[in-house]
Amino acid sequence: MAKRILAIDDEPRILSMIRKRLETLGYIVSVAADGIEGLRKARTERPDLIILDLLLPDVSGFEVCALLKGDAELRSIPVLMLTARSQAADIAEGRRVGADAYITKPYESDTLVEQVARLLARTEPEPGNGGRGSGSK
Amino acid sequence: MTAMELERQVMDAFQRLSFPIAQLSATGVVLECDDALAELLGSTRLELTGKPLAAAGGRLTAILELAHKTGVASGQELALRNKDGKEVPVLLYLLARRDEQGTPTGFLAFVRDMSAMVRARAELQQRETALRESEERYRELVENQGEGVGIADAEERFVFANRAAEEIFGVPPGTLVGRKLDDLLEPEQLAIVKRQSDMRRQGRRSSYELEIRHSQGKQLTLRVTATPRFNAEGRLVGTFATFVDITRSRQAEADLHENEEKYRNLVERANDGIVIVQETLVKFANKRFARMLGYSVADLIGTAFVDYVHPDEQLKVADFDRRRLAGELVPAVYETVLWQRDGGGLAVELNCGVISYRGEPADLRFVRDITERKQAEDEIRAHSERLERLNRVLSEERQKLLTLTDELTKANEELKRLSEMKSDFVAAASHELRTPLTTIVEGIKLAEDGSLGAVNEEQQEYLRLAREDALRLRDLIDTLLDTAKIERGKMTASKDRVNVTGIATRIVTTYGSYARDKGLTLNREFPPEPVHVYCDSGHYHRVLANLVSNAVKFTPHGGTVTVRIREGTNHTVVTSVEDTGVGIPQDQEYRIFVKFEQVQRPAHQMQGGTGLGLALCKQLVELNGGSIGFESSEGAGSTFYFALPAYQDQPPTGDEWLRMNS
Repeated sequence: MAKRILAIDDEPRILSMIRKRLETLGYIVSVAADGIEGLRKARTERPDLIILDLLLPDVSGFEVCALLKGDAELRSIPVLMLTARSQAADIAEGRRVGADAYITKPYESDTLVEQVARLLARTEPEPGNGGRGSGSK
Repeated sequence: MTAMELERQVMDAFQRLSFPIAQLSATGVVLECDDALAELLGSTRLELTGKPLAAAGGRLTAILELAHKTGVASGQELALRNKDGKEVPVLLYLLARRDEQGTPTGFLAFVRDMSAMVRARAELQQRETALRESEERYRELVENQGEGVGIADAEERFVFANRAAEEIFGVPPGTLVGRKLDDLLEPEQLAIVKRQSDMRRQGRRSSYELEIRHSQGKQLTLRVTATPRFNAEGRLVGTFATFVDITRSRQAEADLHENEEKYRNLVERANDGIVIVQETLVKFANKRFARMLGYSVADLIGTAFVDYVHPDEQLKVADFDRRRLAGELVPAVYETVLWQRDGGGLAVELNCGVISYRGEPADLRFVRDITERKQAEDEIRAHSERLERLNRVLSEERQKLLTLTDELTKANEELKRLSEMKSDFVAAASHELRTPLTTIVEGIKLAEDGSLGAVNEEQQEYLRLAREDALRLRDLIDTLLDTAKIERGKMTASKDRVNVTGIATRIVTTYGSYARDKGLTLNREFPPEPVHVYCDSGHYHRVLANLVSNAVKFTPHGGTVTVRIREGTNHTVVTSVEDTGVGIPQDQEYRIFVKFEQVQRPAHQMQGGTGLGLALCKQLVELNGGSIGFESSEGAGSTFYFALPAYQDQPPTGDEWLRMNS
């Protein structure tokens, strides 16, 4: 079954690139342009992976991540942080709020694809959780 | 003849000699004596009789024993004591007397008064001692006096010579006696000696000088004074001579003469005029002084010194002279003007000092022509005025410069501020510059790999070119941004366990097609197992990508670039990039890691670039506690390498960090 990915970024161009790249590889991709929308879609769509930009217009990526990881139902969804910065402090903060991995912008599509595949593979041992997949359609 | 008869005869003999006589018992007690003995001992016969004969020391007993044994003791020296206890020297003769049975009954004693004899002997001894002492003193006198003293016989042979004479002639002690003076002289001196000897034969004392040379080469001048000695018959029996070494006084005379010559020379040839003034009159003047004035020396002698001083200066000089004579402290050296014969003035410096001239105090004056010095002083004054003017100008210029420097400092601060603004701007632009590039690269990639629909070969080719240049642009922007970051001091390394073989593999893949396009082979030689380094992964990527990019850029068609990863010493991992490119000329090596510097190459080899890449690499490697370097030979390629701390399960200790970072 195709995995579903939610990408949260305020830049539509980036979103469209991520979306196209991942769709080409057979993933089902939905997008959100800000943190609130992202959180809403995470609840309603229950994606298999969330790609989260750090710089968002409303709430910061850290806050979004903290909220996701603080929600018992959403906690298990791996979060891949996407940031233009590669500051040690940012990465540490990301870890603290529970991000599972991060890549820096400008990202290499190869790196993105690699990380996505790796994080999704980690969730594979839970094949019984089919409710998520059906809930999105 | 019986013993009795013998005794009688002896007694008679002694009596005829009228020696004092006594009869002693066997123990030496006086039984009887004559007046002569009593007189000798200052007593009366009565006083002496019945008492032992008083003698000094124990000698009398020994004499009695001798006489008892042998019958006679003859001429024994002995001192008797007179009434006052004084010793009276005597000669004692004893005859033993016996009875018919031969038993000793006593002695007959004759006493010879030796007082006069002993006195005479003592006197003689005293005289002898005095004579000996006198002789000794005389000899000492002769031996030790500075003058050499010698006595020669009629053949002019030394019969006596003192130590000084031997020293003067330079012969060992005791060897002069027996030699002739002739043996000790140089041939040319012999004639002198001969003439003097002849003079002495005529009874005349001679005094002359002799040059002698020692065997050691020392040369002396002697003053010889020789007195002939005649015997009672008036015949010459020898010569008494003294020798005085006058070498030194000769030398002193010569020196004195030389000194006089020297001073005369000095005075006459001196550049200064020299004049001696006594009681205001010129007593001496050298030629130089006379020439200064235009007179002859003779003109000046006996005239008043002040007449040769310019009228304007006469009062001053006369005043100085008067005060100096009065013992006041006036300058010994001062300037004045002389009055020349033709009425002209001559600027001079006088140096006055009091001396004794012909026993009277006088004033010795050195007179120096200072015309030239005056001129020089004038020039110096003019020169220093010029200098002062120049100094003022310089000072003004300096003020201007200071103002300018202030302005420059301000401008510099402004520039610094602008530079900081630039760095800030570049950092701020980071996001804005990177974001569109992400889209561009990703867009091209999507089109290129057919995700957006089929592309033909030509489209594919152009898309590839666009992608590669977009990537190069991205690397360039990253380099600029990182450089700006380091400049602002904002760059920090977030070190972690980094799989460098993974990063290196991706880089080799990325640059693989770029290399292929240039007709190069890009190889990698990595250990089979992943290698981990403790560093910032982004920095590692940046450094290696830069080195690989450079290697590909500078290696011509057909060359090879090899990326290697291996273990280094001290727990490090060394990553190297070797190329077969153009290499780096030795004289350009210093530019390699310097910002904005690029190796200067002939135009056809120029490759462009910012000159920031390697400088950034060095800073990043060092930021991560590593070191970077290269080996190169021009035309044969280069190898760049950098070493970073290997990742260890236990974080490195402080010491290990130090070692790695040093």
